[in-house]
Amino acid sequence: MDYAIKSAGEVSIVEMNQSAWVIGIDTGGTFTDLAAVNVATGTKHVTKVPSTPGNPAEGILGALRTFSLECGAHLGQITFLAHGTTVATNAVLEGRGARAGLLINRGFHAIYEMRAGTRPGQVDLVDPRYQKPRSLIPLSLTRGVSGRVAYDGAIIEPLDEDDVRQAVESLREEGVESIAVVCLFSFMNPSQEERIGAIIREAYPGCRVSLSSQVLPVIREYPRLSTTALDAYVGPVVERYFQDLQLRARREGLNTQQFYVMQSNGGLMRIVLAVHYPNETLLSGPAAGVVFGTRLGEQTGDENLVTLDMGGTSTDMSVIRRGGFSLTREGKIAGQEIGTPMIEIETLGAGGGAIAWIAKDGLMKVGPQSAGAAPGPACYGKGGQEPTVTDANVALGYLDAGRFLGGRMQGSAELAREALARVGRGLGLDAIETAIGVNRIVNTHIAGGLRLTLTDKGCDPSRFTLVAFGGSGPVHAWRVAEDVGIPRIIIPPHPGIGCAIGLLQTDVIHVYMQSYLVDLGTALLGEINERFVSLEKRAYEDASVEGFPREDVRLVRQLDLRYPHQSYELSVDCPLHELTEEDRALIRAAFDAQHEQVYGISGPDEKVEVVNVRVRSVVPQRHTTAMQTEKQPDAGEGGPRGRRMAYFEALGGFAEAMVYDRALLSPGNRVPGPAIVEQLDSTTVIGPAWLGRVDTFGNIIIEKKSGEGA
Amino acid sequence: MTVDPITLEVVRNRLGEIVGTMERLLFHSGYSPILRESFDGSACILDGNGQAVVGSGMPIHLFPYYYTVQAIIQRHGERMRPGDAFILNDPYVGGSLHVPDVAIVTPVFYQGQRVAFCASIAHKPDIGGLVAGSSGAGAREIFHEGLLIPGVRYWTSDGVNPDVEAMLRHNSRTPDEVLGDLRAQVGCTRVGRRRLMELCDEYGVETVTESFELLIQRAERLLRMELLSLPDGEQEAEGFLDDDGVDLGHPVRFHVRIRKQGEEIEFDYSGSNPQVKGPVNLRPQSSETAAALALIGYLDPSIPINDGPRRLLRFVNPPGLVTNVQHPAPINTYYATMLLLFSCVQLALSKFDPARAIAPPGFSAGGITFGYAQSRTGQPAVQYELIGSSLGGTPAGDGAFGTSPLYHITTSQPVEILETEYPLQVTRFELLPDSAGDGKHRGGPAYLREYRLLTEAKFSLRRGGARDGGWGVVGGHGPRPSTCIVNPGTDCEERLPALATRDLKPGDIVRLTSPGGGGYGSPLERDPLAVLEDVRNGLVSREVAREVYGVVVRPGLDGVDEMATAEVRGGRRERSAG
Repeated sequence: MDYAIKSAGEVSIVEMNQSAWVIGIDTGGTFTDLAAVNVATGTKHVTKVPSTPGNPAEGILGALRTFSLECGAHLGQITFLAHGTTVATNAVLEGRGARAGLLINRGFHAIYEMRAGTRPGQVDLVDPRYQKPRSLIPLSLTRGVSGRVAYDGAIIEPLDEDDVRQAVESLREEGVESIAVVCLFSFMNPSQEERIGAIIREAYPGCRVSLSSQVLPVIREYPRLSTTALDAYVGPVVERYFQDLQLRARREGLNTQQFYVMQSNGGLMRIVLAVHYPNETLLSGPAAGVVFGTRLGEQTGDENLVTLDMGGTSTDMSVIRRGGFSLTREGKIAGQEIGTPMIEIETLGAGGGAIAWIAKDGLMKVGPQSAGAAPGPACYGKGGQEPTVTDANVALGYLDAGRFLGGRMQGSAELAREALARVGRGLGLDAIETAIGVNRIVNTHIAGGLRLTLTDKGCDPSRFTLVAFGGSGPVHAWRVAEDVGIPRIIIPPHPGIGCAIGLLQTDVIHVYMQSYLVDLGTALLGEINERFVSLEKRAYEDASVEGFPREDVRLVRQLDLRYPHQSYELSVDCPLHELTEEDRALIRAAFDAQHEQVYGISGPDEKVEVVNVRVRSVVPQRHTTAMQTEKQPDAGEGGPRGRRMAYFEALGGFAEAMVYDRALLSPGNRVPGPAIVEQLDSTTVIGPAWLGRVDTFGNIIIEKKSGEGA
Repeated sequence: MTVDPITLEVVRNRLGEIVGTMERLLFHSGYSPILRESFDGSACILDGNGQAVVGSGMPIHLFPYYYTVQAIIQRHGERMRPGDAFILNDPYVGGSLHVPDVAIVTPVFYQGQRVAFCASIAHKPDIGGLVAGSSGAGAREIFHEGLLIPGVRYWTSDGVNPDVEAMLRHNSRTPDEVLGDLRAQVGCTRVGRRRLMELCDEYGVETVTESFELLIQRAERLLRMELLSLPDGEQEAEGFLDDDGVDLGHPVRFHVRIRKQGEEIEFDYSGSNPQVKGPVNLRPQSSETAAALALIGYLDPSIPINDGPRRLLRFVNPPGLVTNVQHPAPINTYYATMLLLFSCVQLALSKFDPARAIAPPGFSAGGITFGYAQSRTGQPAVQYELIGSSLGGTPAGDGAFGTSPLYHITTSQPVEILETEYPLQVTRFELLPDSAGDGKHRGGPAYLREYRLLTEAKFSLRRGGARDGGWGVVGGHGPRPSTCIVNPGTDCEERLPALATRDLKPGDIVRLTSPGGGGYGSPLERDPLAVLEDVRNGLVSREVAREVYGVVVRPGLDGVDEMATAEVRGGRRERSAG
């Protein structure tokens, strides 16, 4: 009974084979989620198995086996597999990367240790005990080598190859598994770095090599070094993992060549290529959630969205503008700077498991400590004593402690209230007052993050739609939206497995960039056009290697622009035709407007510099739309299943809310707030001023009731 | 009406978010490398009476904001209009630490009432004066240190005031960068103003303004609570600069006596030197900041740095002292002096409770300036870099490398940015072995940075007293002081004094070493494996490991010779006991 996945096109690139399946697998901290779609029938299947942090491949194979069992399919029937992983991230977070060495220009050992650009948080600003993040490669494994390139790419000191061989030999004796090579100005002239790379391969076969001119060919030695060191540090770990995963999956019968890995930049890359770009997978996990939100927006016709992926330990948010997410070149993981473009994702240490506590200043704080899966929130009755966001949600009536996981798990509202009362006592608050406080604080915290995420880019919240998923996202969405001034919310049919679904909707993406420093006002447009064309040629070539026809490739042209003395650029879209004088003025005006919007001021009388010419190629992949609700044939009218008291400030306190069963809702159903919609993987709360309705795709669209404004 | 604790926490988060955004916009849209690469700037939200509520960026700008906005209120008071933005840098009128620190102050009006100020301070590459970079060793009066702006209207609702802008343009060696940085400052305060007004829309103006006051009071209360943890009594400490750069060989004394009773604390600077002729003097905003940040850093760095602490701290700081200099004495080298005074205060505090003793950063830090008649673009240019320091050891561990306890920002600029913009080469940037103060927890090491000039340049060096690099605490040793040598190892080698200005020619080499941090505890108590790691990392030589730490490292650097170490350490302890 599949009524929803029927639009043509979404399965077009996979051979129409009765027995073919496409699969997305996301490894999370607690669960490994699998989303599968049968290409011919559109049948969908969802599996959740426990993650296996020791070797995540275990969990993936476990998920595949479960899928195989439950769907009666063998792995040979899988024609497409996309994977989101946290292997690289965890290696950095847990300090389990490879023993790596660093070769750098002689006499420049201090660059890495100085950690330029590292800025501590507000509380560390005058702390005499402040420590910088630890370098991933110690000084004892750093060697200086001869050779020097000048600012303009000229070689001012030749490379002494014996000198390099000696350095490599001593690192080999130290037992390094990989070597990072960072030479000053290698982004202008990579020849010395490349020669060093060749010498390493020759003198120390089997050692992994990370060249800064390949990892991140841009100006500023420190971010380039930090990124290259990360590449060397996680490289062997990621490589081993990907190879092991492929090998074991093949052994169990997986034979598709269409095996992809999610990258931090929101695109897929073939797993056989991904081993060469380990640092590109540092945000592999959360990136799929952002893609999921983007696709959902395409489905519902929303171009401007902000995603809210709230799980147990953290909340990820990201902005999607005009149908596209933004990339940053100033990312950071565990204090380590990453200069390669990654989706701009703001992560807050505030999920459903975040613990409420009283700080020294006498104010209540929520998070970043989380009760995690064990002991979990107090209401789980697994020994947790400290109140969490989830406990507050139980006390306020948003969650039904008797029906966790659709009734598969029995919790206790009493335990939640007791834990809340314990913390509230010091402030003279009872359990409910404390719960209200916890709820407000976490909502404000998330709202602050959302607002910062939006306003940092000059986005007006009133023109945005909030996409809420993850187990806790749909509980808090309406309140957060109200705080920030977002008038519209989408709750997808299966909020709890958004990332796995996102993997089935992710495009194959490549970005091509060339530095070209020139004054926009006087630049020869022919020169810029030429660069666009040559970058596009590379894009088409790569696509053809990956087996995609030219007409499937979509291109975006951009110029990175700035005022002459600035060093941070704004990317401005350009038309796909040959640029004309008219375009020059339009691009200029668009830059001034964007600057005014972002920085509160602009300089229309200043010159504008072009810094980079950029082409982004996208081969769209649409293996599924958002997964639909499995509607029962006899679902009926989708009326409320019952009612309970829940807290709504605007109604003066506890008020009666209708309780709905998500599985019984069908397109066209209306759910006026105050209401609560329950389902296996999440609970959606709809505030009093809001009205939910189920769209044709099974999403709940929540908007302000008419007459009440946004 | 009273703001409940939950709403207060909400508003506190929102204000932090707004001021954080202001700071980020400032650094990202700024023009000069000192702002966009060294982050020498800050943003602040003050209440309608000009009291700092929340700041972001350089914490040493806390007291400056208060004094600067008071000066603007005094001068313009009721004549302020929505859309105005004021500019000020005169250290004798407002709170600027020295002349290049130019402030932009934008009042925020809500329903006709002035409810707040959004402000920003950023160091300018050049604002006129005797030398490129404005701050020079040769200054003898404040008038030598650049254009003094007493707090005038820079923007109105109609846009920039073209007369003031023209004046600024004609008084700087780097007019484009100065005006571009100011544009970033005005922009960020206008964004802050917009956000504050939205906050008032949302929560009501009374809630917002009352929250301002409550947040200031809360910071004061937190500091009071921490003070109770410190034993009562009176302690003193002193430190010296070699000289003021004019009366060579005459040390300049900085002295602090701290009297602490219950929740009250007083800093008495009256034992300090009378003010001096050279530019090492401090205005009160600088000497007060030194004490406030030393105290907060020592007790609990998470205490918000706003006007709460200022209300609590008492100072005895008579006019005419080097810590309260009077017009028109020069002050451009305030930073190294402030770092010394800051270290004196933390030394005195450490005497109240030795278990919390903190070794100082090396305080011969400062700044260097290269002024070029022609940069890569053909235009005149000023290259300004800070000479960083490293932290001292503490009970918690070793001192961090390459940062300052007054603001943990990185002071070295990217080599690739410098060489692309200015006609010089950076030829070395490395860690200096045996440079840190040795100790159970050693100080952070120093770095060596070397430049080769490709054209002529006017070079200015400004740093703290060179001979006394710092001290150790609880048996720890002092670090090596900083040095600056022109053309080392040649016939024309010259070791520069703390303050110097020189004309350089193409091919000249400038070799600079920063100061390391002081040591905490006896080096003989350092974990031998930590010493081994330092030797392997090239931070400590085998000789120093043996002579100072009493640790004998095996020849292959693959371990510690435990027997020999026990012997050496045993003998060393006997000797020190005897």
